[in-house]
Amino acid sequence: MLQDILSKKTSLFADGFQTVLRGQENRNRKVVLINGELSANVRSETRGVNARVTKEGVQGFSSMAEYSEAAAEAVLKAASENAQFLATHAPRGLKAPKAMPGTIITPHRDIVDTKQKRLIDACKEIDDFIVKNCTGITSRKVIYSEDSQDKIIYSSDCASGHVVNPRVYIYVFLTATTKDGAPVELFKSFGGGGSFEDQFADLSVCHPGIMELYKRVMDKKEGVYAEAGMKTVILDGMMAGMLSHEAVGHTVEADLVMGGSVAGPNLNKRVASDLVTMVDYAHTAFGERVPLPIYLDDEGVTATDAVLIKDGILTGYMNDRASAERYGVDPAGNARGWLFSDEPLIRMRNTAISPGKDKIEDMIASVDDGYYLIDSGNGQADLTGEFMFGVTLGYEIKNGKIGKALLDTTVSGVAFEMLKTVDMVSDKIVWSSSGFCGKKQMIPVSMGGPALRCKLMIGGR
Amino acid sequence: MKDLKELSVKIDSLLESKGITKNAYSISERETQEFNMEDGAFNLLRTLFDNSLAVVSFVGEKQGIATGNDFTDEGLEATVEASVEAANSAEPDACKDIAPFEKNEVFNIGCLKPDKEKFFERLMELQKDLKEKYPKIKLMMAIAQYSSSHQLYKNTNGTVFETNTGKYAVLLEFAGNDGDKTTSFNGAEIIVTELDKPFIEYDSLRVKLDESVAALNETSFEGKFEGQVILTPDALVQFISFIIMNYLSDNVILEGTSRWLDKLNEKVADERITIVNDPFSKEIIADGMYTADGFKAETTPVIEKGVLKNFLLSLYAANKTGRKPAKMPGSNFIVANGDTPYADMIKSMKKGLIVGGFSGGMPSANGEFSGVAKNSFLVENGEIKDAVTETMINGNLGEMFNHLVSISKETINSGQMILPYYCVDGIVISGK
Repeated sequence: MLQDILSKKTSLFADGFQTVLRGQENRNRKVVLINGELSANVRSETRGVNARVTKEGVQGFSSMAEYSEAAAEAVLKAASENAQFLATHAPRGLKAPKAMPGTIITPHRDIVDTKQKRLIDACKEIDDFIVKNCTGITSRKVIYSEDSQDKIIYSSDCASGHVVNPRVYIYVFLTATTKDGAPVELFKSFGGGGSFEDQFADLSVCHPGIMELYKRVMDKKEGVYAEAGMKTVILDGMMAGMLSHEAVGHTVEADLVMGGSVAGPNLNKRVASDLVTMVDYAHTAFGERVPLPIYLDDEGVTATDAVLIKDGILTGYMNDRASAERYGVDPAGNARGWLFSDEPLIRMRNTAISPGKDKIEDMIASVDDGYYLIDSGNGQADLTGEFMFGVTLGYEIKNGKIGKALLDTTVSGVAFEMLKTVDMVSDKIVWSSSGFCGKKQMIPVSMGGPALRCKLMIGGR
Repeated sequence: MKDLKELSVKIDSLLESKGITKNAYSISERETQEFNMEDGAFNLLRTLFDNSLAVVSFVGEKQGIATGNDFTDEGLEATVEASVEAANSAEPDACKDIAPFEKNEVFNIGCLKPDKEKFFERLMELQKDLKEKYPKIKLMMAIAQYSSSHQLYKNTNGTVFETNTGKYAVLLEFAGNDGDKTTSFNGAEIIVTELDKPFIEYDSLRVKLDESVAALNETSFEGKFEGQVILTPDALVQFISFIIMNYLSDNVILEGTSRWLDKLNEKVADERITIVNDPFSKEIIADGMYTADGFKAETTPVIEKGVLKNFLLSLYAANKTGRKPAKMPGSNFIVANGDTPYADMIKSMKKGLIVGGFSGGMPSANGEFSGVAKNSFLVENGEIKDAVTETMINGNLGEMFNHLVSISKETINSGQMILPYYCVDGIVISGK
């Protein structure tokens, strides 16, 4: 982990400026096996220091690819000059965000490095399992991916601390071929927060998931195209998580609200049925640690939960310090940067719709003609709340029973209209945390949700 | 700035001390000055000093890669050691290799002596122009940077490449806005080496701003029909990316899932379609002049008169599958224009869409795609109607490039690519 060489540099924080000094290391490991052959074998580490200085509503930032006291001094100087330049040539004259002092945050985890050979052997073991147990597939890919962040943060008027977030995942991709010769692919990720041995000391934890993936890709091999149009669908937990993040989450990021998002005129109004409550969790939800726990953000704000929708009413946004000042609320610790050279932006953390009381079996049984949509490849949303998700795994529902698997399709809708159609919510939440969100910078995010019954536009032939 | 040649001597020495007689590495330094605007106002100025080092080491036929950014002696040693550890952990694979010797060269790309004061003046002017000429545009975010880099590549086959790069890039994200009414996100990027004219005068920006203002008048329709769509240059480049990912890139060739596996030198698209990657074109700024494997860039036809001319493979994927590697370091696509004026493309359309962007899942391996048509307009009886909302388009990538109706005479130059408008048929368009 990073050694603290920054504390003595806080004496250089200038009066009249709000300053944050951050040292950071990102560590990545990657192994890719395609059909058993090693195609990527990479170890990567980047470290450096940055400073952000705020004056009268404008900010100066500087970073340097060197973690040293001299680099800390240099970035503090350059960031201050940048803030002064904008304050002089493009003044905004905004009120400074209020101070939010807090306790010193200490690391909740450690980063334990694993030898590359152990990582490659683990991928081979998973690959061997697939070869032995998944007959009839035409292609397979096993990826081990690890990314960890280690940050030391000093703030002039908020909290300070040392935060560490390691994540490790194994992704399994299986491809089968339809009778027409068309390849169909599905993937599943395993793992989460922690180091390799925390998640994969015993690789047999992945076996049930791989067998489930195998069954589903063989179902998809016989899949049919969805019928295009407005349909009643059951969105399973992974899809509900994508909905939370893409369709709603982005529209309630305060920078996008300022940009004209549909959430602006809808604050304190009904945007969903009263079965829908949605929260961006900081580190703990339903009594357990969330997949991507955030205790301190990169502005030095101690992280708390941000309640976004309560019983169908839009109750708040996600903020950084500047937007919180503008909207007259307290920030909840949503300002995060990915690399040492990234300034903090308003980002989601663990964004989830809360579970309800329905059983998934009853929800499926309630649909005469619709779809059960289980997993998504990607998603995008718009200022207007219009969203789309690529659906990689789904089934028909006919007369309350699961039918044929679907070939890849897309669903779309307008978030605040679609959420009003939610009339059943399952009692179990599913988290998905292996993804990244792109918004100027990439950032790891976690999303979750229960199964939802709702109406959506589905693409197809 | 560090002396990269001095660092190179240290890296050579470290590799030699570890007995690594076959290797390649790339060292670079980059400095960036970046102005940011939020909600139409300057809010952030960034100055970034970055380094990077990527080392590829071979132990026999075993390859390992490590990257880092620490140029201290300890940092260089750690990155070299990590690459050796990765190589020692790998299985032997004769297909892992580095490019053979290439003549040593120094490349200078773009503008190496920036005028930072003029750049800020141009940005202030852009801010003013947007407010005065486009009052119904809400500028959500602008990122304007001048970045310069110095890079050195060296391998044990004797190749040494050195590159100096400098360019101005302005990225804008905006929407049409009128009271509580907001259009979809829209965006434009301008990449230039000179500051000789106001940014507002670049076609790649003006067309998109006009599009967002027009999109404030929106409509939605019910039902679905199969018809024609005009892909704007921004939408076209998305579909070209899908073609590359689905049919031509490493993963799909290694996995054998590309549907064009056996189509080299065969017709895969309408004969009017020519797509060439040309970093040497005087009209654009090159993404790079050599590949990560150590090949000097070459002009690479991807599709020429409808015939597939090249897969876009790394050296590893090429060796693994018995094909040729692509000597294509980045994306500098020049797509041949046609002879139909853009206005005539619209006039001849009975019912269809002008698609400004596609928001959809990655097309499936068989090329089927479906997604939302963004910043898109309904065309009826040769006239552009209102912008459409909640409208999806579905089709097949491979079929789409064979169902070409026309290609525009006009092109848009983004600074790194030049593309025309394509009109294609056989797309399913579905409303609410």
